[in-house]
Amino acid sequence: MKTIVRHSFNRYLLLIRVSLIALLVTSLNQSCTNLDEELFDSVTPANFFKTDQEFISALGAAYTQFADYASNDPWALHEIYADAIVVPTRGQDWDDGGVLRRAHLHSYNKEDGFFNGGWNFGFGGVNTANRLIYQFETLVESGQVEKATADAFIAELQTVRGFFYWQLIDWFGNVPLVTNFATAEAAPPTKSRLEVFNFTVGDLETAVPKLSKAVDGTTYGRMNYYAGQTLLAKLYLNAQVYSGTAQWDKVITACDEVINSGKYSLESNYFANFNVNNSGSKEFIFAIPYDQVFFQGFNLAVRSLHYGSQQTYNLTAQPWNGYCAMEEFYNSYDNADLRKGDVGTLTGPATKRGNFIAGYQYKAGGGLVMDDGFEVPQPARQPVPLLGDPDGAPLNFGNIGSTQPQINELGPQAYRQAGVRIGKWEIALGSQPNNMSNDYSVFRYADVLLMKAEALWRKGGAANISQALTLVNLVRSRAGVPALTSLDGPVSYDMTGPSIAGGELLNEIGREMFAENHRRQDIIRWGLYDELEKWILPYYNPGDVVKKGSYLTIFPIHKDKIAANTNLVQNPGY
Amino acid sequence: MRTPRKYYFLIRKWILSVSFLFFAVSLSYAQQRTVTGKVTSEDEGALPGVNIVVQGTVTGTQTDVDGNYSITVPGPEAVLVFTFIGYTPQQVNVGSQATINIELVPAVSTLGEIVVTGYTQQRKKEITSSIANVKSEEFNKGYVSRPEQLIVGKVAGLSLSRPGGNPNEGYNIRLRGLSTIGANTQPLIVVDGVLGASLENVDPNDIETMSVLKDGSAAAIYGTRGSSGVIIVTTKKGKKGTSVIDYNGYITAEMVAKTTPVMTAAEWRALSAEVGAGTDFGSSTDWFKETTQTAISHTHNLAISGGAGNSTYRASINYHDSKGVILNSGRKQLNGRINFTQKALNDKFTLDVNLGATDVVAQYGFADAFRYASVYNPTAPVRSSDAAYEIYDGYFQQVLYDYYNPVQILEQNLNDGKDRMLLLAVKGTYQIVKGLSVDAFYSRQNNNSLRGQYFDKNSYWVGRDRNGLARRSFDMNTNQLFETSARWTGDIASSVNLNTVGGYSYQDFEYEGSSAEGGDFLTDAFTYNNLSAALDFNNGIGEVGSYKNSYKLIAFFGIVNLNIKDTWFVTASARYEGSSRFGEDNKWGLFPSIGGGMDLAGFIGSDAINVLKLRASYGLTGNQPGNSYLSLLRLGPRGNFFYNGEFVPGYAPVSNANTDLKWEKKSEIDIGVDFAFLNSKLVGSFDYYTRTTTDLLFEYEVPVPPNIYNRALVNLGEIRSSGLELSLTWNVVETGDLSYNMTLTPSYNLANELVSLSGSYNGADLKYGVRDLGGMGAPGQSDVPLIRAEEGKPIGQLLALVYKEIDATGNLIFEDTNNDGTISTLDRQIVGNGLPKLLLGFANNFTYKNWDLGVFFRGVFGHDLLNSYRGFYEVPKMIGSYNLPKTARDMKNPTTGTYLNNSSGVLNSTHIENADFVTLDNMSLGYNFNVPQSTGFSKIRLYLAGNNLFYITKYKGADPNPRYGDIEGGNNPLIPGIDRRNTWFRTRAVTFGANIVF
Repeated sequence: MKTIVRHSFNRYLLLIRVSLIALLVTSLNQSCTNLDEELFDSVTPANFFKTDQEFISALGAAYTQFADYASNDPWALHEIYADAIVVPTRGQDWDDGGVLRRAHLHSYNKEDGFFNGGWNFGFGGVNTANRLIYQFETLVESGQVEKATADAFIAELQTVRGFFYWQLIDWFGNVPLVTNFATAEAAPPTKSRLEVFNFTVGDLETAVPKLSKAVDGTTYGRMNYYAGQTLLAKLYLNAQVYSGTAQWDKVITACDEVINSGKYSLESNYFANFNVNNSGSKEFIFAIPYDQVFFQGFNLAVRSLHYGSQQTYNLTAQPWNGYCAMEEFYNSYDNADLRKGDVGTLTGPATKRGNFIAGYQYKAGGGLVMDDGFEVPQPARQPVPLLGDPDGAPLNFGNIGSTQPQINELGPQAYRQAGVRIGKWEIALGSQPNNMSNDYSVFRYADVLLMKAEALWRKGGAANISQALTLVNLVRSRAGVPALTSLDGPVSYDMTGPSIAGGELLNEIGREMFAENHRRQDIIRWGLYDELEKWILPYYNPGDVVKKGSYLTIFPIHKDKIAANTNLVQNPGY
Repeated sequence: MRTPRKYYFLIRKWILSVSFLFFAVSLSYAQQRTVTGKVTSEDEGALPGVNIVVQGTVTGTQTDVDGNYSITVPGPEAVLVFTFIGYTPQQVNVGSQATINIELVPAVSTLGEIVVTGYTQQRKKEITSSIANVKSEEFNKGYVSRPEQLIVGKVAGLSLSRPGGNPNEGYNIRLRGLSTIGANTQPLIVVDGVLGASLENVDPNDIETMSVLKDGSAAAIYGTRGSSGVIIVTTKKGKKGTSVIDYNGYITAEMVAKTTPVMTAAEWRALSAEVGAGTDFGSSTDWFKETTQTAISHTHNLAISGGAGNSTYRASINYHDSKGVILNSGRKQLNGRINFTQKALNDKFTLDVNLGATDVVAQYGFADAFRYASVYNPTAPVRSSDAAYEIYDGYFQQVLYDYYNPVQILEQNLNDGKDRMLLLAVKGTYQIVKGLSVDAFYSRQNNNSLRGQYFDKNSYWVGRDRNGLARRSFDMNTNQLFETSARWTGDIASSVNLNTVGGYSYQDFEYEGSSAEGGDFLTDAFTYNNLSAALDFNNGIGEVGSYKNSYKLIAFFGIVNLNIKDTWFVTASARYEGSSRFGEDNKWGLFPSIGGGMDLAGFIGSDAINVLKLRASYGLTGNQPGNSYLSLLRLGPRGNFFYNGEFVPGYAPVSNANTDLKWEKKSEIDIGVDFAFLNSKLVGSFDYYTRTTTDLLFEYEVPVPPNIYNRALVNLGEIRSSGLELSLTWNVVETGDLSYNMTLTPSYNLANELVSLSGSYNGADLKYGVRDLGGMGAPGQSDVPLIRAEEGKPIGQLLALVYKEIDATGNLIFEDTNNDGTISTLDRQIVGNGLPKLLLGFANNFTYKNWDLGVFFRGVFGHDLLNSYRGFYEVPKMIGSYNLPKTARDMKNPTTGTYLNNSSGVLNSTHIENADFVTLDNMSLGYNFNVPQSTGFSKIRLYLAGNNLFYITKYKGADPNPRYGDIEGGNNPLIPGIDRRNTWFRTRAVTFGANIVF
């Protein structure tokens, strides 16, 4: 500020200095105002889609969306709202704002996170398919891809889209219908369940015949012709629920396309479908090729097993002690049923693998697993007796053999050890429980047999019912249980209750397809979704509120989705 | 650290006054004559233009360019008054002296001081915006390991928060509340002209001043990076004259001041017996004692400075060896700095070279240990010789959810890092003619950091399940800045001074790095040093990654400062800036500012009013997205695809294109008054500000289609805040032996409102509406949001079910606020706010003879904290698995005495606590020895200082300081007020130090 300036300077020198500075400035001029972004670790469409491999990798995006299907939100939406699976609140664990109890009690609301997850899963898949269809169409126009190649891909993508629409129709009923990426509306409005159903079925009926009929490595993990037919069968099977009009004949036709192809058959061992190395099962029509490295997302083991189970399987992470099977559902299996498995006892671990992990648990190297958090029962404690774990510290799923219930209550005081666990998919020694490598069958041959059986039974008539019984008994015989003579009977959650039409068929579907994204759909199709008090009553607390009403068979649309798109209409009742 | 100059001069002044009084009396009969002399200042050498008047007359003169003057005085009774803008006026009784040499002292608390502002400097009086300048003598004392600590509480409106005492953690800096929610909330740091410099690369001892540009007008010159304020750090420079060696060393003992209040073993046993739950393992362990230590740290700073001929220099070396209060944590930091100035070409050319280098070796420890020390069973032993625990190397462990022996965490595992920071800056300034100069500036900064973590094969926490786990990462970021400017200053009319700057700025940034993680080792011997020994890589499950990204900022800027008759002041500036991070159609933005001020003191003409300056300003600043490439449609690998029997990568969109992506704009109006009353005994300023941020950068969930990816960074919405700030210094006593002054800096937030987060993007209406954010987490409260962000409402609303009672059978009963007969998420209410309303700093400085005492209080009021320990563990029933907060004992029905029986989902309104506090933030007591010159020392000062000596608060957790973002939610500014379980405990430090100058 107070610099003293002397006035002697050489003008010539000044000129040189000023020019030097000017030169410095102009030499930087090239980059002086250039603000283009320079990319190093990501690609844009400008430098992608140049090679065949790059096209294929783009197609892959349609399938990576399936990663959540086997154990995350989509699975929860299909399974935990029904009578087979329960997530008790065990002390401080698994309360999560009551979201799980609300699922079991049907008192869910538009803030529950599962609905957001399910919507993202469905529309993520729809939009990826739409985008890729559009991309292939443009590539054909620009001559980069031959039309025949593109058409095959497009038909496959339409089928993938059909699958995701099926999920959305099933959960949310009335959803927007977006079918063209380029002309999509900014905020697509809600369409009726019927409209979306009709579009999806029509679209699949055009696309599926164009799909590959190969059943080998080229179509494994992808939608081939038979996967497309099975998907159609699923839509027809639930057509009464989705559209108000039953389509039993079409179920039979679609199932027959699969059955009569001779390309699929029942594995002699049920668990060949659920082993770690199960890829290529003869039963798989469409499978998600989970892999601990290449295709992650299958985490049922971490969700279901007890903390201490880490020692049974030497798992690389501690499980969360969550999902288990409901007691009555477990008991609906015949003890001889090969699918049930046996029970670990104080003298030794279970020797027979089953859908369930039950009884006492052993460490990989031998010795009982101890639950460090067990509590000693104090029946005399006042005013509330402490139930504790009646059989002490050894980890025992379900108090097998004792008079105590397997699951004492929904929560919050559920036993830490309560409930038999989901053991259907093999848990490999030393594996990652949060990234299982077992492939997961979305569509399985046994399911096709059971769908056809159901359609025949629904159609009625002695011949049809007899044919249905044959199909059901085919599945039962593999499970080592005697043939059924009637498809009617009491339902699994109420075995001492009245016999209902198709009750035994429903039970059989439940036993065979346990935990395979099935149960809610089946219960709704049988019209039993509102009977929840019968399966939940033994567990709930006086303060718990159960909601009933047919509107509950369609889930609410999550409030964040409505906030993001003002043209969405909330489903009735929410 | 240097002795506060003020005290030194106070003493000198007193001596001078006394001696002159003597002369005045004895020589009062002398005749009219001439007095000559030279006026200098310590900083500037000779001072030209100093006004000298004979008191009570019109006789006056000015010093010449060499600071010399000559004046005729009427006689020995005459008193000479030396005044110069920016310096404290001095009066001298002439007496018999013929030569009077005066050294003027820069004004400390008047409006004459020079303040570094953006790209220029101004006298405080000329400033029309809100700028706070903190000089080294005002800095916080005691245990200071980071520059931010120097000014905690010193600047009204500036909040620095670092809950807990982690020596490796930086501060969350907030200026005037929130001005953005989706972009950078931390102020821009400018160190010696380097924009975006790293504060970690500056040692606190090397700092001369820190200048905080608070309002939009002051910060607008930094355009895109000014929205959250600017802190300009100026380091100490050498001065001409003999070399000065300055040594400052101190030793600090830091200890845990407050832990989470949980039960002792005895309390635990008593409750366990009452509740009838829980396993007594027979020991009595104080897990806090086992996991923490008294951290002894020492710090040494040695600086040498001086100058001769055309050069000045200052070189310093700083060494900190700090331990953390948690076991196996600490930080060793070696820092060197050289500031060198060379003048050439007849002093027309000045070359400034700054070099700064820092080397850090850190042990981070694991904050998780605090969490587990708080919840671990106090009857459990730390170690056990029982064979069952051999697999854990003898550490006691229980197989429960989220439950790990905290001593084991700290002792078995490694969490290390090394940082290297290098800064080189060169500036050439050439003076073309008087008042006109051009300059060119280049700087390059390089920050590298190498991290390593190893989890032992027998570490139950992490490691055992992976058979040993190692992580290694290396990050490097580089930026270079080129700036050139031209400056002109001069009078454009009589008494109208113009000061202008125009320039160009180019800065590019590059971030790159790599990381790897692998487990399954044969031996622990390698720790993280031999990743190829991890079998995970052979098995295809090891993880590796690398990244690189970059961006550029280019700007043209100009400033005009107008001073009319030293009474009216106008400042205008503009920056036209572009960033590569923006959409193709919106790369550039213009950020103008205007401000005006008027000093009324001259009009009022009262001796009591020295300065009364009214000022008002307006400025527009910007903010850019936190990441590059967000305006581009990008594809990235997203999982794999099973194709023809093998996995091939699937590529999918990872971001949407947004060619319109542009600056977030903050406009701010600041109205203020600066004043100095009663001969500058009472000095201060008062400000009102109101700011509106529009075009907020926020990541929305967007509809797909038309978008191809379901999230997009979009400019939408508005937030608004306003507040009042006062800064007041009162020199209460100022006599020879004793001085006392106090400074009060309160700031009050009038509003912090989320006005809107809605608008239109790509043809779609995006409506934010009401969103519930944050999550309590595991165990058992995963789907429990904690904050409600709502358009038209204040930011930071804390949400919970409202506690009603514990009923006779021990059930926790909540209010059914929506009266639907059932308790659900829909019954949650807003029960607090995480953002503080009032911040208060209160500094007191005393000197008495050789003693000096500083006492600094700090208070924060009006914020709530969600005490997550209580929200999780305040349940007597949970004693089976965990230790509990002492307050769990109160969780019973008052009539029946039945303890709370629920053990899940207990978070409720009672866990959201008022966290107002006052702390004795720092206090220092020093003694300056009288050192005879013959010893070669010019100063020896010893001092004792304490930091965070006590807190007065009702908050039941460990640290009531505000949480400005959620540590478990990416530090999201919309989620303030959550006291998470991994926060470091509050600490207290006592320091003994010496400052020696020779």
